[in-house]
Amino acid sequence: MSLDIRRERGTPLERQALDWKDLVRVPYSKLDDEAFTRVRVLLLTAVEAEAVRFQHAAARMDRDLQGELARVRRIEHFQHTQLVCLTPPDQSALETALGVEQLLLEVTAELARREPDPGLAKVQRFGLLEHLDHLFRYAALHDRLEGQDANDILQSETDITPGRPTPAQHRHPLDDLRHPYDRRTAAPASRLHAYTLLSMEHLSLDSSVALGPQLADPVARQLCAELAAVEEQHVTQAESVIDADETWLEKWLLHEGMEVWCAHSCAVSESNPRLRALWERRVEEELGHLHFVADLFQRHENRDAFEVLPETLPAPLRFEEHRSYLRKVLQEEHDLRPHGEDLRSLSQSGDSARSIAVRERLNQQGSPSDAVAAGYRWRPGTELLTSAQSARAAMEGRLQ
Amino acid sequence: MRLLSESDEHVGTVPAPVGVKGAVKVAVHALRGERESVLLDRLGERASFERSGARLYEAALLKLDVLGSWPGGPGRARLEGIRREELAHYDLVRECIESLGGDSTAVTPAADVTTVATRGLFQVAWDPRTDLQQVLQVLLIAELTDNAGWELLAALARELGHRQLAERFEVTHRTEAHHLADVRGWLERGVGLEAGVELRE
Repeated sequence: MSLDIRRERGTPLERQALDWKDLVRVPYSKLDDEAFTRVRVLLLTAVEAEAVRFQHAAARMDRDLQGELARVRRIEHFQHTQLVCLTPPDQSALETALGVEQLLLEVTAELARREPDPGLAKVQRFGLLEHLDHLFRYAALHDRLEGQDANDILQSETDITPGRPTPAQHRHPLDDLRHPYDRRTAAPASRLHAYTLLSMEHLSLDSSVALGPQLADPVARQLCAELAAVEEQHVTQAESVIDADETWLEKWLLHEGMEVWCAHSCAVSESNPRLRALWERRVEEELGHLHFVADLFQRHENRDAFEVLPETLPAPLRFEEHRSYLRKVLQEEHDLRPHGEDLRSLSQSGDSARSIAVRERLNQQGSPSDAVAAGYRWRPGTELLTSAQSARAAMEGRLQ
Repeated sequence: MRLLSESDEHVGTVPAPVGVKGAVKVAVHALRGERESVLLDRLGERASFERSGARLYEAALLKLDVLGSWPGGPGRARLEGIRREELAHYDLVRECIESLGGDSTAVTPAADVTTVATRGLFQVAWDPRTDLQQVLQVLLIAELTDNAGWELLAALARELGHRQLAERFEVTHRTEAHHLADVRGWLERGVGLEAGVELRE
């Protein structure tokens, strides 16, 4: 199932042409497709958005390769557009945000479980428990604003339960930096994991920022602002674990390797035949990008791309629920807090004074995440069901 | 529009009732003869709409508490009473879905469509800049839809041979008719007061 990326060369850039109809395809079905189809679409959306973002930043720092970057980036942009347009029109921005949190939970759990570096795995689990709480807050909002059940989106694959409380997640910027991997010794899988997590965290940040203005309720907007602030911290954290001594071309190569790996993972697991065909095509396109960048890497740095990437990619990501794993992590690591670049138990090492100061200032007029979810407990069919049953019993009692 | 006409896609399918063999889900448009699925689809719509209704009345109560009412306008007790009735109707629908072997938590296509249509109502109701009269305007849309929805459901249940269900839905429809009359009356008096005229009920 693993992909031999030295041998597979994919579709050359000049043959990667799309037209408008190809860009805007029939969306997946919110009702009929499985939750993991939405998760896969969001994962690939995240990695394409990251590709475009990274390549724009790189172009600002290297005049010589602006042309090559522009060629690849145009295709990445179209790929991103194509993915975003797979969102069905009946899926609200809040429902998409629920899907993004499910992505962050299930795929980060998958990364953490297979991560060979224990330090990086701990950082991944640290973020996991914060996303668990974000999902819980969004679920409360969805129920209390519109009377809708978040499980319609999650399809019973992910628990709706509090994680590390959001009001306690606000930290000083310097407390979001973690130990980076060493590019000379890190396992290739660790590097692919790091770039994948960075992409997903950025999608979560963008999703929270975009959601706020679409909601009318001011507390709901505050919640989005609060969650976006934590996502910004997560992006900072995810960036910090990547070795800053990688050359930018090396980083470009790793981005392309990650894109191939994620697309391949989606292609081999997709249940929707229409999307599976698209993911298979995407693998070929990304392999084309990878070999284009590998040639640049050879010419400009006089290095073989396979000093950086493994010839055979790690086994594809599995898209499956991690409920029991998440419960175990919650039980064992809910009280982790930053201690310099480390993460330690609150009960043993206390909390960072500068982060406490940040938190107290932000929460001085109350916490939106607490306001939105006060007393909330998820139950199938929304929390209204309890009062609905008593209201009906009272009404029928009156009628009898 | 070309994309639309070339597509054979639909919003979604009604989950088959428990006990149906073969495919778990069957496309609604291929189910013209599958009467129970049509009924389950409409029941799903009612369940979703009644939950939305309860949340809309919560928004109205919030406006009432902050901004107050007007002579002949809504009072807290009646708004709370209507909210409770919306919830009771939701529970009635839930029980009916389950008695037909359906999943009361599943989103049916009609429920999905009504949820999308209702989003605009929530945007008005939760907007801190709108007043109680503007929320009543939203509730009027909701109650008109609610009344038509129960009327349709009662007729459908009767035609499909579910006489007892139809009778319960007719009772519910009569309750909803009172909601509509109240909301319409409150809104007319509010608008009349604002314009300095008395509107005929």
